Amino acid sequence: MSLMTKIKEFFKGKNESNKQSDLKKELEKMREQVEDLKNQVEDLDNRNQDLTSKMEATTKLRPMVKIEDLTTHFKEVITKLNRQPPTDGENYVILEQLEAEIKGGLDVKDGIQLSQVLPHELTPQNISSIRFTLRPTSVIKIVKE
Amino acid sequence: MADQQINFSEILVGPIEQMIEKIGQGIAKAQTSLDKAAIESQKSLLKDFKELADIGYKVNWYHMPEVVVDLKIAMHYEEEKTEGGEKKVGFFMSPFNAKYQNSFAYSADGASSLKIRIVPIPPPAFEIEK
Repeated sequence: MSLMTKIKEFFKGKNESNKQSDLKKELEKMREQVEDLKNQVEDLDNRNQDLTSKMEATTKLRPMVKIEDLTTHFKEVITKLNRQPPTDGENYVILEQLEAEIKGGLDVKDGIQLSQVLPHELTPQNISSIRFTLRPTSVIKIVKE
Repeated sequence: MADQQINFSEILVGPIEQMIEKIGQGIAKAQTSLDKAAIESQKSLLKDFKELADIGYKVNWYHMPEVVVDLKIAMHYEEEKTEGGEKKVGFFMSPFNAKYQNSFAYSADGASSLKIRIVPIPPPAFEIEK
């Protein structure tokens, strides 16, 4: 074998070993990326489970209210609105009558309580309604300048 | 849903008194506008139709004797803790409107109503100067 051929083969081997080490580096990078993606998928999966359980808890939760609390609240609303009647700064409006038709289930576990109809259970038959009459009172101010 | 613009005030819950107060303020504003329009009409009568004003003609005023509001709502109860640590039930309501129904995929046809009666009343007993 001539010297020239030996030199060529030496460089050929060198190039191949360089290529191999490059490929190894590339492979290492890709493995790291795959590991990162796996972690991200795991995080998202955990978040998804967490949100699903929260949503389930919200759906199962059925808020209840005692009848006396409900009536007291409406009494307070009327008192508050008539103590400070709604105004635009010139005319006042008196709340004359309020009629509430609250629909819900009856619960007797802890006294009589009204349970809330959950959003996904609402139908035209069980929506609540509040009917009230407002009476504007004109206040005419005569200011002498 | 992601690319749909939602005005959350149309579907979110609010205290009952706040909703009644807002409607009341709107009605009061409408009454004020009616009063101001009557004053302006009387002023323009005095200016443009002096002969009518001279024989004592006065424009009508308009008044809303009552406004009947019928709200279809979804009630929400929420237990709140007061500053003293006591538990208190908060009452909130969401307007039951098309937006709410779409947002929560309901099939319901509850519609609220606002019934306003406007009647003419004699003008108040004072003179409006030009």
